[in-house]
Amino acid sequence: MRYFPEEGSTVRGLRGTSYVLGPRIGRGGQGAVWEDATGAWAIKIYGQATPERQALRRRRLEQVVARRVQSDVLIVPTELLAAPWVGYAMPLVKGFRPVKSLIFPAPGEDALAHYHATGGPRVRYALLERLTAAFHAIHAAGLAYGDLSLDNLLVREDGRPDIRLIDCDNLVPAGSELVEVEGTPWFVAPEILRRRQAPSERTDAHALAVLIQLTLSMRHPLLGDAVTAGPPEEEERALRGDLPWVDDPEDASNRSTVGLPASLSWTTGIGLALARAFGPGRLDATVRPTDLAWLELLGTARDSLVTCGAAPCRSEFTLRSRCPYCNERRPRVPFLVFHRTGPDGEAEQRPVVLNTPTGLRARHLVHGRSLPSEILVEASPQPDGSVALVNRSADALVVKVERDREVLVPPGQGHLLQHKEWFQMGAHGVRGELRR
Amino acid sequence: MTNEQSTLLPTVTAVPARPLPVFVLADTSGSMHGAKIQALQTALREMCGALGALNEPRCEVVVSVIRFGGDVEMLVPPTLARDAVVPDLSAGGGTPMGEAIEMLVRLIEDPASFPKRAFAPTVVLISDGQPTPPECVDAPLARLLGERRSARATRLAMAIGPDADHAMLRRFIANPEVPLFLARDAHRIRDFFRWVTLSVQVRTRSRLPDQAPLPPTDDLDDDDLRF
Repeated sequence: MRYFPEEGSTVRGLRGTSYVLGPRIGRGGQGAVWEDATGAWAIKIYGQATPERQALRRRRLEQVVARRVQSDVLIVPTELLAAPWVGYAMPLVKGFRPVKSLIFPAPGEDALAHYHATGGPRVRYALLERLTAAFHAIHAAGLAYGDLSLDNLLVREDGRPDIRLIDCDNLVPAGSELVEVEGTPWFVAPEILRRRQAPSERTDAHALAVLIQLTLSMRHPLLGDAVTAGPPEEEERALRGDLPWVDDPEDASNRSTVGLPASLSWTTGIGLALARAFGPGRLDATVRPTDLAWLELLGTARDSLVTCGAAPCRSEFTLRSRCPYCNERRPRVPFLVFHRTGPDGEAEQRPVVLNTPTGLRARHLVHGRSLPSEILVEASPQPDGSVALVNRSADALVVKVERDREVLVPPGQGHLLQHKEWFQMGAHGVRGELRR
Repeated sequence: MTNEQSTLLPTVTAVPARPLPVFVLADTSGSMHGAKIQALQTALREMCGALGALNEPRCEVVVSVIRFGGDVEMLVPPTLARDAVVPDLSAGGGTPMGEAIEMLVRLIEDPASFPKRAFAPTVVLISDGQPTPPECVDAPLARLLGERRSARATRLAMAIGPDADHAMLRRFIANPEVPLFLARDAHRIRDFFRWVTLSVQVRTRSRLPDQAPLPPTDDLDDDDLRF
């Protein structure tokens, strides 16, 4: 007898829903996935296993359902299946494809052309922000994702920056014994490879940092040229953390010539965070950047993007004087610089390029306030280079228009901000200065 | 952005994938004539198509097919699965399995066709008869199981019909935890190759592809397995 049900047969959920199986759409080591006849649901059924393993799978699914993670990008089980099957129903994801489509060009395709054709840095930063926010929600629910991979993270086929995280049946309470998969190669934290540790927020932090580096630079952080040219055992050594970060500024022994140069791939802040994640953080999980730190850095990078004005270049890059692709001077777009306090009390400048009307929120004003919040000020660039501000907060804005002259902009009112003028938020006390 | 403008940049290349070789030793002797050879041809083409579509950036599956029937021929030389073309098969002649295994060992041990950066190969043997002559299998089989690189291979085998040499095929597998698959009819050949495809897919996604466990046989009839 064959184990799996045939197409056309009916399986039932624990809440009584009947699902008629349509075509099988996936088959992996754990089990198989069918589309249901209505096209709205995907049904995953685990393959044959010992009663102990099936019981572990059932317990893990119950935990995931019970924790109710607050994220709209996680595809979580909606109903567990009744015996004799172990499995669950979940919404069927349509119009998405694996994130590896962004990272790996098709055979023969130019890698740089692929990078720009798939959305360049703007789409990548936005996708990574969404992923990081989803990880934050998972960790806030006391769970670990445990199996980030190039197949489990889906991006929209139409290029809009939206994601879905699938295979969420592998979510486990942090440090739990309910683990079945040990993670996906390239993303598994070194301490899991060395000591078989259970997934946790910190092992997820390693996987997230790997995905951030791969997505932004198309280069794996631990696999240098000598590793990829060597036998598979050498790759295992590198992934266990025995070799330095490929972009280590002081140790060139594991350099990679693959992908975009670091200067094009990320901001200084992101480079420093990656250096921490794959330098000391390779072997000391406690120093890896947190989800909130990444949200801050990715948001800052996305807010600083400028589009080259020279035809036909039109490349996007983070704020600098010249386009790194064609060497033309960057266009004179208006941007705000917020003078604020960094994580260690140091002075910090955070630019926000105003390519389009932009809602300024707490995350622009205060370091570490990266989670979604309401708009405080609307800032709309004008053709003459000024910026129209509308105060959407409950406090008055202080706008410094001349050396000794300030005006107050009450809630709901506006002001046309000129070059080198600055404004200050009442509640936050942070100055935003207009530059071009 | 055009290529002409990217003069400030070095050439941007993607992470190179590591080869994962899959070798198939296919019996095309006279007794395979008819539905069996047709099913084998279809199954091989399906396998190449499915492995070529895997799109696993870490590994690229490289397929080779050696056929043995009357003589031995490298039907598909080592080729990326997505580019592999399996020609029409025809059945005829005896079963020179020993020569085929000899060709396989030479291929695996040759760094030009099987570079050191490759993962260990998956080797599949499918046969419906007795090797001719039977004693000519012993030496090549000993080399396959003894040579450094060949010995690391994952070996899978299918016996078609009652005349297949089960004992020899079990010696080829040389692992009591790996079942010998039995095919009572041609239909089972395709099921077997779907399972082979799944086993390669599982390897490509495994943390340690050279130590990955074989997938469950849930898609096969229990009666098709012999341990």
